[in-house]
Amino acid sequence: MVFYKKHSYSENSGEDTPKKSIKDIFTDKPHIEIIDNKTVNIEGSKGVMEYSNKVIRVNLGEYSVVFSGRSLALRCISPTVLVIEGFILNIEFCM
Amino acid sequence: MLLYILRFLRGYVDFRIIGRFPERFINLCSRRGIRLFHPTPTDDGFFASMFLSDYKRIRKVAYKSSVRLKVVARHGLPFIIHKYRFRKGIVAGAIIFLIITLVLRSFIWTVEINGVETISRSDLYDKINDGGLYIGTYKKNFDSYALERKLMEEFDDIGWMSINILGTKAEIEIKEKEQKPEITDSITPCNIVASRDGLITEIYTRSGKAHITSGSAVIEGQLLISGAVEDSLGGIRYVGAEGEVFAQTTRTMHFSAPKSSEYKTTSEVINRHRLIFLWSEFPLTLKNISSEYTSLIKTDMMSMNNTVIPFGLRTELCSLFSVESYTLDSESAHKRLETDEVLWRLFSMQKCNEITTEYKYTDTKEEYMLDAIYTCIEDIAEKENIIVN
Repeated sequence: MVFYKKHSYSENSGEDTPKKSIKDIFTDKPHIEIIDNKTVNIEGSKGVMEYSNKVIRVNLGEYSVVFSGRSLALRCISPTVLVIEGFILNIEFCM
Repeated sequence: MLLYILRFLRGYVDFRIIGRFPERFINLCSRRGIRLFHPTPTDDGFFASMFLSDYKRIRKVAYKSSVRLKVVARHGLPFIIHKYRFRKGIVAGAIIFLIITLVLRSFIWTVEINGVETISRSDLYDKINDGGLYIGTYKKNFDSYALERKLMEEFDDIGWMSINILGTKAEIEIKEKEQKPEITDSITPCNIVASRDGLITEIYTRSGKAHITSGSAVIEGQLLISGAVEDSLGGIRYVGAEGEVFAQTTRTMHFSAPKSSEYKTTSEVINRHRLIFLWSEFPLTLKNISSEYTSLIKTDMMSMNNTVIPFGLRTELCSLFSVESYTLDSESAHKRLETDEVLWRLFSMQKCNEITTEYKYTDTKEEYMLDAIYTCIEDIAEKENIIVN
């Protein structure tokens, strides 16, 4: 069980964005990085559930994420990291 | 690129995965640390590639995920080796190649000299050869410091030098000494006298007292500028006279060409070749020549990227000379005399401004002659020391 500090907001700057701490970055929650609509880097994957040219469904533990598009392919596969390449048209989160 | 080389060296297979749960196959592979690359989905499975070593241990994974594997293509060095495993000659050749390469890298095959400007390269190469550095020197027996010391002692013009052995190449870096500037002696008392007869046209005195003026006629050895100067008290002070004295001079040159003469010509040429391999030479031409032949040896060594390979060809050009005589006609003789005259004028009268030249052709029974009379302007000043008792 991981406990997180409540986000503190800057009063003087008037910005609404929360301050990021080291814990926020190195959490065990999955990280998804989308570069343009062509590359997706996923850290914290638990496995591939569906794999085809049009749909790739990735298990992220508590939920799964579905990338749909065309010419999709897995570029890199490791136990926790996946790199998906292709033309991504839709991203869907399923519980 | 590095990845492709690594894959080629380890060997990899392209295979097809057919079955109900190909995704499970991917997950199991990734959990077991089996590297799967280029997975391309198809209608009933997907294509993928894998290292040969990994492919041997995925049978259990394939069974667990209920898929069938079918190898489509094999790539890499292990498959090439397997293909030629019965060809012992290739293996033997590769081993011999490796041994030869390892042996040859212990010797120096190229000697290069850098930074030489005034020192004679051929002298330098001779001394380097005498010092033990030549093509084929065994690197471990070669003492570069001893050769450096020897060359520094023998060549005074070398200011700094270093011998660097880089692989099979010996690079000799030389820095020559800076030449001392010529210091004019203005302290020793001297006069300036005429070096030849002439009519003075201009005189520039920097030090001393001029004894002639423009328009004066002088003879060889006559005093032009004196180093003995009278001071304000009436005494004599001796200085080093300096100046330039230009005069119109006349000089005559005599050129001659014999009417009949003998010359040497090549009557027969024989080429003899020898193959150079490592330290040995093998004759390719089996022709004997007599001692009357004069030989010229030319060596061509093979090189790759400016590195000499110990394999080449030595050609010996053997020529037999015979003496023939010829008779010169008047027109050819005039041409030859003119050429001689032009060459002499070009090299011997560089400091003279030529005004006029008169040519006079004559001939005797034995030779053709040309007398050239030059009238020119030149500096006739010549220093002559004053001996003061």
